[in-house]
Amino acid sequence: MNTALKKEDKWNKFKEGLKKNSFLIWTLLPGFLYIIAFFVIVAFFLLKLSLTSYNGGMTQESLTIANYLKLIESEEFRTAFVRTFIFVLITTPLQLVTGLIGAILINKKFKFRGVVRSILLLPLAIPTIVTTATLLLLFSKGGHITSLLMGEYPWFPKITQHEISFLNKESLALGISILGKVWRDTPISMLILLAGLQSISEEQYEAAKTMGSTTIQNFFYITLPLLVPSISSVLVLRSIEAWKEFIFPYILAPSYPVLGVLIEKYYVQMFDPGTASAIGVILIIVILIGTTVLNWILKKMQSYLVKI
Amino acid sequence: MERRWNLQKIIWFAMIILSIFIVVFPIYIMFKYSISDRSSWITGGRYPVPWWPFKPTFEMYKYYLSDTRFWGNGFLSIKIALLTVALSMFFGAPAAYSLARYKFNGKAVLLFLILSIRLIPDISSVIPVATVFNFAFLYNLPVTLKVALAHTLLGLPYVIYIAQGVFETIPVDLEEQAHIMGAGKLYTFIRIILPVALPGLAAGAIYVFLLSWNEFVFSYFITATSSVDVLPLPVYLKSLFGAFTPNPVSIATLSLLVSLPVIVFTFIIQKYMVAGTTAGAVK
Amino acid sequence: MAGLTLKNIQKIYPNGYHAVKDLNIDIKDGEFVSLVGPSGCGKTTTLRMIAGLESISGGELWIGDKLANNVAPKDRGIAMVFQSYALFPHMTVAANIGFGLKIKKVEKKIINEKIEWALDLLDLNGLGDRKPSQLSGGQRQRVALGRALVLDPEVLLLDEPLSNLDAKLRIKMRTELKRIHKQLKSTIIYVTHDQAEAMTLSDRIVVMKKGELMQIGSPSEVYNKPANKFVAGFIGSPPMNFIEGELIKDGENYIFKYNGNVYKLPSYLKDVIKEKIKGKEVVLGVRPEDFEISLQPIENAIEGMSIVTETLGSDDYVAVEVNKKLLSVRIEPDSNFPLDRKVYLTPKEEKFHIFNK
Repeated sequence: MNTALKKEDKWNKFKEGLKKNSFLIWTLLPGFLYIIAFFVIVAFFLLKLSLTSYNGGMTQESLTIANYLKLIESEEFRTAFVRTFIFVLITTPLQLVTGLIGAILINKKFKFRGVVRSILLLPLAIPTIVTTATLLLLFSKGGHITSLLMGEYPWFPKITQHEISFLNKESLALGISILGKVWRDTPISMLILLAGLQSISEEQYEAAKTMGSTTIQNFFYITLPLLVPSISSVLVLRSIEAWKEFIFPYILAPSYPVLGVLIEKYYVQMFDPGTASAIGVILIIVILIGTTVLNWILKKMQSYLVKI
Repeated sequence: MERRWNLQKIIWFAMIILSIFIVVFPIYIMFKYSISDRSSWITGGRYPVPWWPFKPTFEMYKYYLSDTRFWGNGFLSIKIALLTVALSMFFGAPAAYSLARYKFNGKAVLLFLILSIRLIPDISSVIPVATVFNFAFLYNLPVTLKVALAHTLLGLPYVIYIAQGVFETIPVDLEEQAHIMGAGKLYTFIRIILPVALPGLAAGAIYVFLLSWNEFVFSYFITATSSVDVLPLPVYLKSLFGAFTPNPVSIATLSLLVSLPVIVFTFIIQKYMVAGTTAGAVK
Repeated sequence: MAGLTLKNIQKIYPNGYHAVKDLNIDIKDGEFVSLVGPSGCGKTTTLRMIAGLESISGGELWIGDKLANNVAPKDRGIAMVFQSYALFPHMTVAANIGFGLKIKKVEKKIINEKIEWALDLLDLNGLGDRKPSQLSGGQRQRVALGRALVLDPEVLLLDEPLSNLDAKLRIKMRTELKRIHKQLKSTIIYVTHDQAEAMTLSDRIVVMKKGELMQIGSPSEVYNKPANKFVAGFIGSPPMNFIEGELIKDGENYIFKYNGNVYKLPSYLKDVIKEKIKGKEVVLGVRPEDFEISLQPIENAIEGMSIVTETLGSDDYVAVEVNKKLLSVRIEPDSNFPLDRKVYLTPKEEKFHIFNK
């Protein structure tokens, strides 16, 4: 009797809480149910598919880790993993450098600053698939770049005798993917770093100047240390994006797949959603580990910088 | 401002010109190809492709603009993007308002949840999403809705971030005033807060529109697994690459037609683009 | 219109901060009462509790003869004007003023009449179709006021309504507020940090500090009979002078000893001392205009050096260094007071204040 009463009491309290916070609940619920449903679907089906073996169109009923075992032994997977890692290792710092240059250039006050900034943001606006199309045209056989390197334009020196087929050589094809990725995403790092730069007041530089600091010293002793948080977030966000990359290597280097492209290959071309999902799961885990490690390294480096 | 030209300034100026060139050059190449006549791209190896077409022509634009398939695909893209905007606003704006206004337990968890959507690669999550859409009871959903539902997921974090920022700039006094005068929370939200937030929210809507318009992975996988003839524009563009003899003029023209609305809108909402792209990065 | 009673009102925030402590105020129907104090004193919190925007942690709030602790803001019969005016930017002036009536589902015809009445009362004729962004600061302020007045509130709450105006406009609006109060005879609770504003406007002033009530009284009461050192220092400009020292009993009367000097206190103070003062450490307080200043030595005076003079236009003041502190003393305007001279100060009869340290 007593416990029943208590239960009812609790229930009433709960109902009262619901009523009091009904606005909060009704505003938050739809959006977050949507997001949570997504996570549940991804987690459940991705795991389930990755644990299902597809053999010549036949599916096995029982769950198995055969897909994972197959992948670990597969040369193709290991190569793709290394490729992805190299892709991350190159694009991430490269985007930091290009973004930093852009941000420093724009951080000055000048007459057409707004227009120039808009122009430098353009790569972000152009659909990725269009960017890949442009690179295809530029680097394809008989395109501008090959003609240029072969000295067919009178104003440019001849660099190579034979036509280079950019898209059929692993290092070049991946290089072009990296080029495309950096070209497209530099504005993002530029904006993050620009926000960081703008939080440093002119007076700090002027104060340093009165103490005899040169422009270059200013950059290393004031700008860089104060920019560390922005730099960290650029590195973390950009490395996540680099791990996730699909479109550029998919269009420009389909014969030399990174992990993302490999997923597509298994899923669409080889009708093997099991293996595709297994790669997907591995990719998510790799991103989580990679991001955690990077965060850890950045924290260590930050505390090291502060000590100096 | 000093008018003196020292070395530092010359380097700076040269770098600005160089970066503008790097950004504009590919766009120029696209434009050049799109107005090329045949002899300007089929060279037979006898001469290099010219930097400006021998006889500029807008034939390909005329072709596409009178092509029903192009318009069909274009309208599909627009429908998907509009539906995405509607869905992400419906789900995102109210949530953003509560996140901006109230302190409650678990708020940090919710914010992390939003952020973590971006941790999962599209190419990983597209498989379960496409699988779910292939279930018997979902298979017959219109493609527009399927793709828009997927795009909403990508747009939701941005809508929430941008709208949260917009709502935070609206003084709480307005709400309290309405509250004292007897308006309920819902009434206040719809009649006071939303109208005041409208310009900022509109920018967020455009941002999401562009996101959907540009999106490739989800559009591609979902349309590939449900048999349809009409394709979103990026997927349509991709299908041209695989043609037996890809026609650069055709690709370039379609590319520019797809990019044009994006470029125009980007200039309009530049300020909010900044907020969207740096969301979660700087606070 | 109605009166208002605060009984042992408390505000404790969830983080433990005690913003308002045991506040008791009785406000009569039609009274203009100001809450003053430095920022953080709890005056705005008190106002927000009365409005219902802030929950009441303890005590009772009576509006008229209704216990209002748990009544929703809209049912309390109050209207509030915010410091920021909180005008709805997307609505016209008329729509802003009519908003509350529209929510209460008042007939359209009556709403329009009310709007006209408010526009007329506040000298806003012809501005009904403008948007708030097209108005000047003073006009916006009046729209906010009109929006509150059309609701015929039992109690009108004003939260620093003039602080966003420039000095000239502020003084004009002060007079305007006074006229409206006289005309409508509404109960008004007015929060301000500006003691001069409170002095000129109010029937009674409530002085608060760190969530505690310091004194309630008419402007002349708080000015002439401050309950403690804080009120004495807060009300009046330039502020009251304070001299720290100790009391020594001398037969029937008292002697004030400061920094090695002594001053015989007038006998009328002995009752005050018996009643209020605990311990030996005390502070003497004299307003700048209540000193007699003399260059000739006077028996039983406070000695000091004249340092600088300053003028406020209508009055001149001389700063006198006593006990390493500067006291401000009002002098005849344009008197060309000699500086760096020994001066002798004697407080005027009955203008002496003494407080616990």
